[in-house]
Amino acid sequence: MRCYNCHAELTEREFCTVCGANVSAYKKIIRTSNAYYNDGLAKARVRDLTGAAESLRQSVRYNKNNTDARNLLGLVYYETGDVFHALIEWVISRSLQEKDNDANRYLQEIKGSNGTLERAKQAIKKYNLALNYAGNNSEDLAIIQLRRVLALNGNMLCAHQLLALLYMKNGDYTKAKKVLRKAQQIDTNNTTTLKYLREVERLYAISKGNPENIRTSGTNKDRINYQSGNDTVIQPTSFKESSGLWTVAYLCAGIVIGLLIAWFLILPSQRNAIRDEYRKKEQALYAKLESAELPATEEPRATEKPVGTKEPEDTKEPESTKNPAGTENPAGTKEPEDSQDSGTGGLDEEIYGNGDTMQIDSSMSAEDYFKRGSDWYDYGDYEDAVSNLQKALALDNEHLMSLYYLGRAYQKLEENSKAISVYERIIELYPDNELADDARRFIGELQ
Amino acid sequence: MIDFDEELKKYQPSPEIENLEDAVNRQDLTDMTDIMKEMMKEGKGRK
Repeated sequence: MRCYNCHAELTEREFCTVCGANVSAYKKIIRTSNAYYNDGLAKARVRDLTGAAESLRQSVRYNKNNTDARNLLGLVYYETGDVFHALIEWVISRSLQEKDNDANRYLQEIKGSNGTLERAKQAIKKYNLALNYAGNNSEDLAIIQLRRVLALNGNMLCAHQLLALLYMKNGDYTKAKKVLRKAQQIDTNNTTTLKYLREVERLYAISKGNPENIRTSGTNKDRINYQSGNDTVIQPTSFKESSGLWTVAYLCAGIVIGLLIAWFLILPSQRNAIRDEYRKKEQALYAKLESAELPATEEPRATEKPVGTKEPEDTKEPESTKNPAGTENPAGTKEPEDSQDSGTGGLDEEIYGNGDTMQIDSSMSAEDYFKRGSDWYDYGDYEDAVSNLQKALALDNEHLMSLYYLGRAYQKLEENSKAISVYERIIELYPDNELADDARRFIGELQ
Repeated sequence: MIDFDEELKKYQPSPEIENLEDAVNRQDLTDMTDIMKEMMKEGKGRK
């Protein structure tokens, strides 16, 4: 701070140490000016430009040399579209402080930038013309001119306010409100804007026949319905932006929904596909097993379950309809009795069955029936084993393995006489075969 | 209740930028410091 009299640097004392002038009042004036400047700066930061301009005017009224306050006042004018008064403040600022003054830069930018000054001039001319139209009851022409003004200088606050006033006079409250909202974005606390907004709300409510509360005029309190020309506009009364927390919550919900969809829709279909594939493989394997031939010398497997699925004894069916694997005969069940060249060749029917009355599938061979019989034997179902082995022998009454298994099945059924009879036949037919040796041994055991 | 005509009267034509120089010259730049100086001069003159 410098002395007003000699411009010497002042100390904390109440007088100038150089010229001796009393500076106590002067210091208070400077402090007051600075306080107003700070107040104006704070208001400008929250876009209370009307309040800021008032504080800054006070600041330069106390101290015309407060360059910062004057420059900021010019900026506030400029922001409200008042280029004329902005230029005045910056020109004065520059005349009071030629060096190190931001006003120089502001003036250079306005004059040098791409037609800013020229547009400002045009906007002022058109604004004055619009004002003239409005005074002569030509509101429609005034509105057209004001729209052009705002196209040239979108921040011109007085043009917004005049346009809103004209809209209000024409009963176009929606447009008036829209213009006033824009004006409020430029200057949040302008008394004229606030007054017009309140008035337009009131007029709108009256036009809708509900002057009490405009916000409940719609069917829903969360929205406002109104007519704009031929259109019905539904406008929400408030808009709440999603917070970060809600965004995370929505993401989590989306992930959970995705997982549930995958679990209930995608996984079951994949499981079914895998299951079908497994069934096909199983059937293919079973078909291979059925077609495979057991080794001639293989010992019956006493406890092994036949390749297939269910327990045959739990699902006893007529012999003609089932096989060791529990599957039906491919060609159905019943075959005409005379369709087979069957017969036991004069063998004991009680032991070998009656080939003429057996239901034998024509597509099955002695080997096939033997395989079934051996499977039933291995599974422990000796009765079904006997039945199938009898069919095998009906087709080939010298089938060694069928005879052998039939003997063993009778032995298991403790029908020893039948078993011995079968073993004897083996010995008779294949005396040198090692199975004949076994047959002899079994006969020895049974006798 | 806003009276449109009364409200319209509050709007004044915006000064043309061509008249800036005149407007600057017309500005009263007297501040509190000037008033104080004047008062102090007057006080000294009385003494």
